[in-house]
Amino acid sequence: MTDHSLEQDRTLAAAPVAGGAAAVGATGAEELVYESGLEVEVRSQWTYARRRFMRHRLAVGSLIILIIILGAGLLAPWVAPYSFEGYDVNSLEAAPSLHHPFGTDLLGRDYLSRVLYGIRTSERVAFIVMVLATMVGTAVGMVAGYYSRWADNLLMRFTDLILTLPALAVLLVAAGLIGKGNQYRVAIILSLLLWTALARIVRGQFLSLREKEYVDAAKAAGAGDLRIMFRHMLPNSMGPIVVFATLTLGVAILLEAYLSFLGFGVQPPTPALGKLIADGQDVSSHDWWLVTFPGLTIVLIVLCINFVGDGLRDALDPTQRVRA
Amino acid sequence: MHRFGLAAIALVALVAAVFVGGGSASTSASPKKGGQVVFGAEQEPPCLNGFLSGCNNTWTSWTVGTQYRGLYIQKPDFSFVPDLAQSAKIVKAKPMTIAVKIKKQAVWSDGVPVTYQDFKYVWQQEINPKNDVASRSGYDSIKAITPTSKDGKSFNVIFSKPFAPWKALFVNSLYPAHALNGQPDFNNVWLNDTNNPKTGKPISDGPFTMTNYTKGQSMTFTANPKWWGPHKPYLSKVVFVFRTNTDTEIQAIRGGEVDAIYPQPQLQLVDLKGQPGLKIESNAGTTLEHLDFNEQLKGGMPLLRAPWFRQALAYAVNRQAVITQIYKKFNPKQQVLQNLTYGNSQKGLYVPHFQKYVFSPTKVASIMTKHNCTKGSDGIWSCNGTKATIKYGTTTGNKLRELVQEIVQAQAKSAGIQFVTDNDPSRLFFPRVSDGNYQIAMFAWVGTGDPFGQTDIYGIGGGSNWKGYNSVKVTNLFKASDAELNPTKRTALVNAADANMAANVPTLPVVQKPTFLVYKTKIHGIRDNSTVQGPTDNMQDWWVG
Amino acid sequence: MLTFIARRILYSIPVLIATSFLIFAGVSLIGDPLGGLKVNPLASQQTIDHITAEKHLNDPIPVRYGYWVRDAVTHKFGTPLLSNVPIWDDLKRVIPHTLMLVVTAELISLLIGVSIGIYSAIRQYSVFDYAATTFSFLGFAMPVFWLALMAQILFTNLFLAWHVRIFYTSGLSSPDPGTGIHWVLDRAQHLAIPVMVLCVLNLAVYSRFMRASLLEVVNTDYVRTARAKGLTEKRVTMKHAVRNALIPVVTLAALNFGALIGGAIVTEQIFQLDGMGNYFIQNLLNTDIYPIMAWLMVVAVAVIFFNLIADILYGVLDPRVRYD
Repeated sequence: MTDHSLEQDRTLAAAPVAGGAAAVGATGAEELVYESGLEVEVRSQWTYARRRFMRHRLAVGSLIILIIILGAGLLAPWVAPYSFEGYDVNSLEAAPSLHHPFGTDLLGRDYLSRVLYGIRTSERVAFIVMVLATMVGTAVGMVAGYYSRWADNLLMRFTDLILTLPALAVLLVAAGLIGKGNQYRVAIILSLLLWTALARIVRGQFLSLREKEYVDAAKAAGAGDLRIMFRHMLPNSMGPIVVFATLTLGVAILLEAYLSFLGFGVQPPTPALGKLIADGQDVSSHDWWLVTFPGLTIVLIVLCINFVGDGLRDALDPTQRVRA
Repeated sequence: MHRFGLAAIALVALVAAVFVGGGSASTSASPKKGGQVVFGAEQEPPCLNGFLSGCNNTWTSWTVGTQYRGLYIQKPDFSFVPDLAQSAKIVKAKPMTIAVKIKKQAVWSDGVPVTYQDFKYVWQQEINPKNDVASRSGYDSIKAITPTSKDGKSFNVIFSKPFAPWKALFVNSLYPAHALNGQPDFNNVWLNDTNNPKTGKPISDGPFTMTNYTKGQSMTFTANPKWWGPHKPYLSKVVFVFRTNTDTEIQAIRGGEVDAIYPQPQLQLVDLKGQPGLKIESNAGTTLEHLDFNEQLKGGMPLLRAPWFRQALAYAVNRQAVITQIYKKFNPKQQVLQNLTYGNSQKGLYVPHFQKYVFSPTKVASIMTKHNCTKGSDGIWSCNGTKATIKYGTTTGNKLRELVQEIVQAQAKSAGIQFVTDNDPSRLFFPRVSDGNYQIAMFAWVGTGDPFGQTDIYGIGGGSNWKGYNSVKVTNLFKASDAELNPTKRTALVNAADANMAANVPTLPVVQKPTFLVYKTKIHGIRDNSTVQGPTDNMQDWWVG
Repeated sequence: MLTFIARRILYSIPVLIATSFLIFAGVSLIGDPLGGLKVNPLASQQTIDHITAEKHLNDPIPVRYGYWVRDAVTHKFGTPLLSNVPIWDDLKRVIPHTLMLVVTAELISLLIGVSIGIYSAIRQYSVFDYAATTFSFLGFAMPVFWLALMAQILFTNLFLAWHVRIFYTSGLSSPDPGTGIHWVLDRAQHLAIPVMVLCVLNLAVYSRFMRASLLEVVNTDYVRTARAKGLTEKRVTMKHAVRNALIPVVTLAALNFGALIGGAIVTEQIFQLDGMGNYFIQNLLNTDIYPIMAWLMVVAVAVIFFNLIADILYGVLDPRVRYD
């Protein structure tokens, strides 16, 4: 399925339960915070993290490539050599050349430009998904973890229910019946499905943080629930949240590609990467570049995102010794 | 049954017409007996009773439909050739009465002769309000079917009102009354098999009977030893395997996993052309693609109500570019469609009424200026404060239509008209269009080559006149044609209506969609039949050598 | 232990009921129950009225839910919109096909994935380990449909080049599959490519999970104890560590069921296998919500069942887990 991608989430979510090594918690930082005040030390936690990340050469390299690709997509209207719809009758189905590095399609449209616009569409969808899913997941996890009891029960049972069904199937049903090929609708549908894994992680964090002495201290000092959650507990859960957000970006790009491929994703004229592959498969035995380039682009983007996510996990989660 | 074969929008037309067929006359050597052909089918029948709306799609009639040969068979040239019929003619005009005589030798595969009972059975099921049949049109005009000979081989069909395209009612539309009589609910007849419910054995009056059906995978048809045609079927088996994903279907014929396919036009078919061992036959089909302009207030756009504006649009749509860039790749001889009723291939009927609309930004400009429109800074015309920005919708996923749309959009921009994409998958698109909720829609009417049904599409109050075209003259001309039994007079009426529409442009014809039959060169006797009959109408003539 | 199992089963019942209501209400609300009919603009009013009455569409959702549950239990999930063939008859046909596909893929990828994981962990940071890591990251980033398309084209071209039928690129079996060993061979030739494609994905998941799990276990106290007792390194690894490291992997495999079905959706669609995925997509394209709801329900029951198995397996395999 999309499986792979979701698989990762699964792994993230299931790991603590299954006794695996993974994830959860910047415990090192907590100690510091407890010993000597909040502001300064939180900053230093991030400084350490940045240093650790920079040492992870693969992740840094991936980040650079990612910035270049996503940046090119973002700036597609300015960097693309041609417009995505303008076509050239004189070079129909041209193989890749200096003129058209990715070749041209059946109507003689420059494929590099179309792929760049495709990145733009896919990344726009993916960023919306990342922001929405992270916000919802964090909020739900916080509430469930902090208040526990009935709120916890209710929210966790609800996420259980959502996890009961194969994500791709639920997505397809939603996108097929109400997605209408609109990129924002598709993005919202994706977000509504992807927050559950994060909710579980954040809940786990909050459950353990709730028992910490500094939280008791803050309570005793008369701090309100919101203040405790946002000032004291959330900063200490940022590690897994950042890692999740990063990986979600990749998951969203893949899932959108699946939807587009099956005909339920973002629809023309806006090219999206999955749609480009679906269109290209028509003539794939002949014009190999039409399927190859958008496919490779997806693989490269997701690969880089996963490497960056991996680097972030190492950097933000010093307890995790096992390095990929 | 094949008349209903066209799920979404079957419309129709027949006419004792002339026409040009594709056709490969390959049967020079003497046919070999035995062997089988594996045919890739693009759709699987949801269920097998093709009369029911739920079971009915083109492939239902092209597969199981071959078991129910009727009075006529429609040939690639659109003509109706007697099949079961020894003779059939109109013997009385009022009430319209047809005297039919069925061939003596015609029997079902269990040996029971085909008689008037079988026709009567189908008619009664069609008009029974409890049955969810695909279409009652035509059958509801029949008043009675009465035998005129003892053996039941001769009978009269009496209509309550004139019905010009009557022959189409009797193409592949026959069920064995002796097998099905007594079935309590026609809605439950023949859903998963087509066996005689009384004996459990396959039954057919065609050259083959379906002996095995593995749902989701394949259907096997075995030669019918009781076949009453001039010669026994050459093949011993024809197997249809379902390949609903077109790309997979194409790979399957490339890689030799199937012997023949009959796909919707796809650009990748062009790639198959050079492959040794494969033959591609392409013909003009019965599907007429067009741009529909919505004149209704609801959902429509005010400017579209003005004939001059629609004419300007007709000059802004580069139909020639569509043909050159897409359709000529399939067939270098493909032309722009210039008639809303007849296809280019219907010689003697087709008159190019729309041919004056050749892409011309200058013509658009002169029409626009004449009506006090001005060009904005973005190069788009504006008339009385309304911008010439029009929503243009078509069916998502139909790649050819999407390509056409992209070409039309890009070209129209240079003529100062902006078409905004407004597509939906067909499952959402058609409900919306039939609700009048669109501005311009590109889709197709699938016909039989006969103008019957135009009244419904273009006539005032017509059930499919979703665009709200409002011309008394056109309505009357088409209505008159439906009741006119003389073919020549009928064609004249129809073309008069069509010429009238060319002036008003309620709809702009684009292309007569081609059909494609791809098969291995080792199969002989196979040929395309681009009418709704489909290429499987002569399976008895196929042989492998 | 028995009480635990009983309690776990009891807990599944409300989950099942909630899921069924969620499925029914969700799909009924976002989809048009008559959608499949309306696609045909010429569908007669009589037919529409008939179906409205049959499906009780004028009643409120909870009442319709009641009818639906009744139909599901007593009438094989009722009938689709347009056909009178009971939905369960079709499901009954496609489920074994999908199981054949996913179970084969699952077993092969578990076997190979676990082996790769063990070897990677033992030879951490070796060339093999890096290669395996690279491979699994690629697996995570690869859209399955893209891989499937490439494989399909590759094998078609191989056939055209060599004129030898190695594998079929579409369908579940030949028109005349024969019987006995011939049938098995024919089926294997048809399923080979889809299974390979699904394996690539699962291999990435299982090999990485096994590696992480084993590295974790190797560093635990009891393994150190085993070493201290003087057992050979090989014996320690194989006898103690691997056995324990397998526990989370096996659990993950059971939890993975939903994801597998998801993977089957795309694969079956491309290779035209008459399985659940293909059935699902066909009905989604027809906008017929009744088969879709039945499909989701069947999958949900299966997922709940496998979650149950996972929990029980975990308890049986891991002596550290106690139930009370």
